[in-house]
Amino acid sequence: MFGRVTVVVAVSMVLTFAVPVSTHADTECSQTDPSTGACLIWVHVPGTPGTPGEPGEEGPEDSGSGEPCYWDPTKQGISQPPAGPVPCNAESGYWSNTMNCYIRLMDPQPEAGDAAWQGHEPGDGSVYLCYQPQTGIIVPLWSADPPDQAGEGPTPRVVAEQAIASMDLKAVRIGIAPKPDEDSIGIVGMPVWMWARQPDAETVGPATATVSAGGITVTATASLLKVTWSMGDGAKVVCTTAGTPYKAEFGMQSSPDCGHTYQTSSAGQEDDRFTVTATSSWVVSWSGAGQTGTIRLNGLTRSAQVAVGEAQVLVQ
Amino acid sequence: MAEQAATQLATDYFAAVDHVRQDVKEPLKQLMKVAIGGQLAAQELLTRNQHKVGNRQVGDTRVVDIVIQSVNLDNSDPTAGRVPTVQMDVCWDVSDVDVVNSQGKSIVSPDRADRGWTRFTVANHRWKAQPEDGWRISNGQDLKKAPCSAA
Repeated sequence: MFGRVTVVVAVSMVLTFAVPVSTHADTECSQTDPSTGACLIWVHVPGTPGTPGEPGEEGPEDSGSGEPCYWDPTKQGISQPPAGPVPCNAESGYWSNTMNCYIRLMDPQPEAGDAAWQGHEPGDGSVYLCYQPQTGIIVPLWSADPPDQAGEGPTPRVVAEQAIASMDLKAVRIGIAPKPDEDSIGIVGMPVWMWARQPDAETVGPATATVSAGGITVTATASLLKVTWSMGDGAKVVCTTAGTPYKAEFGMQSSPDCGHTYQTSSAGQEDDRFTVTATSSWVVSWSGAGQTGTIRLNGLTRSAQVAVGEAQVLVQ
Repeated sequence: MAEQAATQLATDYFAAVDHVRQDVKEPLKQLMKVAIGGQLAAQELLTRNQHKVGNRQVGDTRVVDIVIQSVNLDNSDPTAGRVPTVQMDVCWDVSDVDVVNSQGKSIVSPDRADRGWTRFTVANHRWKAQPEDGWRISNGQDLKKAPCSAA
């Protein structure tokens, strides 16, 4: 939150008025409150954790409501109060995720030459009050433009969805025995094996992406929960694994984790083949902005056609 | 005139702060008559938090000495902060001041200085309309110099 040499007005909430809640080694008291002995005005020096504009670390987990405004103590190198959602608007102004405080324009603006201008001339940008109720600190800060208003930005969930989009998740590439080509035909009553061919992060996960937007950084991890195989004969097979690729050495064995046995031939179906559709169900866990959440993704599908015939027909 | 107003303001400022710190029922808005900007915000917050936890000040702050350091009556652009300012050093004495919690127990650190200097910036953002009573303390900074002698 505090980037440059900045006059910091602080209010200590500790009963002994010994030190403020947020103290860094490079924080000095500028003005002491005579009666309490508490520090009223602080000075931060450059290089403190949580410099404005730098992304903060992920905060601890929260209930994960996806609120757009959040407090993240790690931006200042502290751990308490724990990260979590905050009201986007309060008496002290609007919440800025980037600045980690409530922002309001200082009215009136400080006098020319006041340290709060940080060397800028009046009229060049404005001085804002940055109030952090979690620590009781209020900081006059100069900014060329109004600091970001978190409530107007994306929610963590929306940022998580952007992360998901960047993963380019796809349905599994269908692996099936019998093969879905012109020269292969399965036999009624014989085991069919299904699996995800050429599995990779995009098709079976896990895939992880981190995206920052609107002062929020969200990391999302997508894991393949299950693949639902619609076999074309009315049966649906749910596989919680990527399946096992069939090899000739397995002979007539059934798949150990993802298989099916047709009871009828595909004669009479379109092109005399069953249309097999694999539908992937993903679970995406995201965390960021002091919150966590889960996004379910369904509907990624891919299809293939397989022919299945009666054994006695083949004999004839 | 500016020097006189600033000098009077120093006394008024500490009196107003004492007043709101001593009685939780005293409205904080009276601080607006003596402070502005960051100084006002800080005083409001500290006082509000004191009230919230049940702390109360006992006794009055005494202004021992005031030294005017500079006067600048440039009022060329009030909306941008180019307003008349006075810088003054104020020596205060809080040897008669205690802060007690809701049980009446002192919460003042034994390390608290009973006497010290603060350099205040006094500004008048309403110079045209209120050249005499528009002055407010807008900022302050501890001075690391020997406490003033007893008056």
